[in-house]
Amino acid sequence: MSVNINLFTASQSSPAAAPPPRNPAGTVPCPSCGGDVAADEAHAGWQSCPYCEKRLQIRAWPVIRNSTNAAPAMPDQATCFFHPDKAFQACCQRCGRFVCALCDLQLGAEHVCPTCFERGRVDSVLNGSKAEWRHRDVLYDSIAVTIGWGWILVWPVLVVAFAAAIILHVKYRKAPRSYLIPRRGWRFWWAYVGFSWIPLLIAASIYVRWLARRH
Amino acid sequence: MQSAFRKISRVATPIGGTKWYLSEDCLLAAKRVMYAVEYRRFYLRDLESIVVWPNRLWLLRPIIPGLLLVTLGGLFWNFVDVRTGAIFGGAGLAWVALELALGPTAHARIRTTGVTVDLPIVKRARRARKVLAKIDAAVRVTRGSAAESGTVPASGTQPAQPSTQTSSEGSPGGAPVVDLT
Repeated sequence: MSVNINLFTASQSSPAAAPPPRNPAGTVPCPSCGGDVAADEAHAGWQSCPYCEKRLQIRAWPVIRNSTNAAPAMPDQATCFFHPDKAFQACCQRCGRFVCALCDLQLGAEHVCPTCFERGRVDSVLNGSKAEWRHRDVLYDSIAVTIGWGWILVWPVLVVAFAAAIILHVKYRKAPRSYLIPRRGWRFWWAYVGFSWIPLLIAASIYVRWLARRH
Repeated sequence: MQSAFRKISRVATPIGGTKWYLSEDCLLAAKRVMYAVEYRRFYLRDLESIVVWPNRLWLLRPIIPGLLLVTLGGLFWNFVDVRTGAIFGGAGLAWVALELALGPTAHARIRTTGVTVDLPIVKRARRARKVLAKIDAAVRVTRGSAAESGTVPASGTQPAQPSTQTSSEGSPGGAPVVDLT
């Protein structure tokens, strides 16, 4: 049994995930009827599909054609590590392998081979490495907030929840800043506020009783 | 803690939602489900089109909860308490008014070189123009700099040829099989 953790898979499994049909340049298939609708460049607002009258807002850009043909290697030329018949295009800046135009992956100014790219994607989850490779983050600070305030619903778990919040804070205190979209660390402290309000109420009730007894 | 990403849109759901960010070279969708965030990048050089259209069933959003609340309010008004009935009825009417003021919800379809994905880029159709304008401006800037560096857009008379890549997500930096020379 395989478990898929990719949250985008559900949206991809629709028929729309299939390779797009070829439409004439500058046109977009209508999501309702599939007819070709020309994007109105002059008027950037709503327009109607000429076939089904559906209201659409379209932005279309010219396609940048990228060559997928790696040059074949000459007899005395350096070749790709993965394709021995293809000519050397770049050198992987991680492992040093020669790669052809097909295998040359660009991360900003850096060139990497497919193997290093996959390794980087896996490592990015564990170590929080290069931003381009990150594809998943776990929001430990939000977990702490849920624990900090959620214990009220199941109050016997108070002690365990408090310990869990402290462990999360200590272990992942730097995590929010390393997310692809960095967050501040205040949520860990907000979790403690959730723990503090019941003791405060107890103290307040004791104080009120003490005041009532005095008078 | 400066981020290279600029938030342009947010589509919330009860268990998370999707936030959209723009960086200098990609459109990033951060889809959150509970405590996990998955990122998906759409490189601006690969973008072919974005289509937004209003959801046909959006009127159910104001009608169903509004009708329930107003009915409940009427029942309370008659059988329990006028004040309780007024609160529920008022809440129902306020809900209907708010939904009608916000307008229809929207669907969106993003088409890149080789893949078409349905992802909600805006919650309400009325925001589509603003968000699409931001993306459009970013794409034009990226395409402009790409053109300066030698990449030539495909001829306008030819249909788009899907590249060998199947997903923009797996192509960091724009395109894995790019020959920019």
